[in-house]
Amino acid sequence: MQLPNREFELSVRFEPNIKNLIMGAKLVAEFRTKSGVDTRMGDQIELAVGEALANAIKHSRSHGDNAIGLIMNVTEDMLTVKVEDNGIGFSPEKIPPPDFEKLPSNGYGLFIIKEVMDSVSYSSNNSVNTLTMKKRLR
Amino acid sequence: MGEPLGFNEYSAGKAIVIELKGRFDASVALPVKNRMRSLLDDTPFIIADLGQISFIDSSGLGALLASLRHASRRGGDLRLANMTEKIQQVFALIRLDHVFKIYPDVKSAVQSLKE
Repeated sequence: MQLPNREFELSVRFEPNIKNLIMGAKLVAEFRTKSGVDTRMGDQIELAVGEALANAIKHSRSHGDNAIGLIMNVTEDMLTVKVEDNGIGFSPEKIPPPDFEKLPSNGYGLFIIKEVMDSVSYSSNNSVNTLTMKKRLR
Repeated sequence: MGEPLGFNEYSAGKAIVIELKGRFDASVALPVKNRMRSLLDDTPFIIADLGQISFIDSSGLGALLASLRHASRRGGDLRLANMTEKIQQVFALIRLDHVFKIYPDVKSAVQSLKE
């Protein structure tokens, strides 16, 4: 059995096409193998990354370039995931939680990310928006 | 990591069973929703067999929710069967495990429509 790596970084960039979600899934699969996280935690990270990438792709303003970036960094048992895009940006604190009475068919992405990750932050610099998610792995 | 989504369909009792396989994410949510809507033109009852879904995100859940609403408006229902623990956990995150009628297997979902 392969021993888990304590420190490493994986990254990928791709065009903002929803079909490219699979590229993020491939990177998460590589992360799961290298880190040795348990199944449940790996599932949660896979879900959060998928939601973040889907949001970034939907709101990107670019076509045909590598505007979407995914970086997964592991240091001292802490996973830091950054998802970059060049869309119009948003203020996470202004996104209301889902209405669980009306149950709309969308608008759950950020809620899910906050539920499964330990911390979530967002920044915009020089037209690059970065969603940063952290999770302690052990 | 899982395969891109594919699906098979077959009739069982009063329902059409749609057997989904692979990743049910934002890249395929719309075509699945459209297919279910089309099936609901022929029958009010659909059973979605989720046993071979390797991943579902909020867009996949949204497609199922929209299909459930469409079925309800027509006096029918969308029932779910065969969920793995991984998929159940995503449903529970946004409280959808109490919204759908969920069965351990397709057989019991088909049986529920006879009652």
